[in-house]
Amino acid sequence: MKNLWSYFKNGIIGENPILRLMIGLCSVLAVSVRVENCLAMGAAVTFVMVSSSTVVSLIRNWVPSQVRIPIFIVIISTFTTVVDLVMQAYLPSLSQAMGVFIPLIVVNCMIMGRAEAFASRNPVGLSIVDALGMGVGFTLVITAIGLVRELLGYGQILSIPVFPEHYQNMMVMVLPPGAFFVIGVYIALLNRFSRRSK
Amino acid sequence: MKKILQTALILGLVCVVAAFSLALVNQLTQAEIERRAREELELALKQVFPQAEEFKEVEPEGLNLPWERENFSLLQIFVVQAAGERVGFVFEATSTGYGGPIRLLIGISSRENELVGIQILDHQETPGLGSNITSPDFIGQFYSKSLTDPFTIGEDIEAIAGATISSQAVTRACREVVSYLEEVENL
Repeated sequence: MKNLWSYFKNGIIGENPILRLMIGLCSVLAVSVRVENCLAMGAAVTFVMVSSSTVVSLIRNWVPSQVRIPIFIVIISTFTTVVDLVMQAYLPSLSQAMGVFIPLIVVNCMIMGRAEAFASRNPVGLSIVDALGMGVGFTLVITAIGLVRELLGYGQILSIPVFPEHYQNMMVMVLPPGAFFVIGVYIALLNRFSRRSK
Repeated sequence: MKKILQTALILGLVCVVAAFSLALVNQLTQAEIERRAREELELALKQVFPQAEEFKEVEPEGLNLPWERENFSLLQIFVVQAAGERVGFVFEATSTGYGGPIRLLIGISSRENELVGIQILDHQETPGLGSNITSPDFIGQFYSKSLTDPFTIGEDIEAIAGATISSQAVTRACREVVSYLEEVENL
């Protein structure tokens, strides 16, 4: 049990996809403008991650190594398309806000990376835990970025105004460079924090 | 040889399973997606032409759709009916902005010869600058404009500061729709 927890925690702190591995940043930059979008993106990525890791791990013993990458891509894109279609049908406003970045989960190297580096070499249980940890780690960080960007960029949180009306919106936070600034600050904080605890 | 066949077979099998599951999900969601799209269009049409009772899609003769112009294309035309009479048209068009095509609806009353409504459906303009084309301050300038107006930035339309290209795209769409109306004979 303690072992499983350490695999889960690995995705959140030790190898956090955004702050430590720094992969899958493209969608983070584009989507993290509003907290609502961040939560939905996090949920979508976590779903694709957990499902594709499960399947990859289940079939890992009979996938020929020469064609493993195409097989992983087919599996990942299948789950991504499922998410995309379901969102278009039942969450149209979110689906519109995120536009092309939902289909682009297919090429998110974070999911491919975990399939190749972990799920294809470990039993199903561990793979699910690892994928969950990575997904939760991704969601937490992207939401933390979205919180700062929405607050400074629009003066709102979850579309509810929190600043007085004459607050001047910080436009740079709404544009992709804003995400870089916030990510940079978070990485610095995480490094400082983890160095001290050693 | 045997190995190649086996490899291909496994890859093929994975693809077949994936294709089948996607077909299934598509079947489950397709109706809902189409219903939402129709509803959305209906709502947008109503907003562009509030006094309308019915919208009917038409295929004009002579000037076929899509009608292409530089950085502009006219996609669909709806005839607007109210109290059994034809009162105007709604045009669906795209006009090239700063970040790609801007898709919009333009409502024109054929009785008063004026633009009665305009609605941006889709755009990828810069947040905070070009995205202001949807703000009432900008879009409101077009309401109740006569079709004989020039529809030109700097003359009768004021551009958004820092977003001239986006403003131009919307203005161009109106101008092109008016010129289409002038050219087409029996609509």
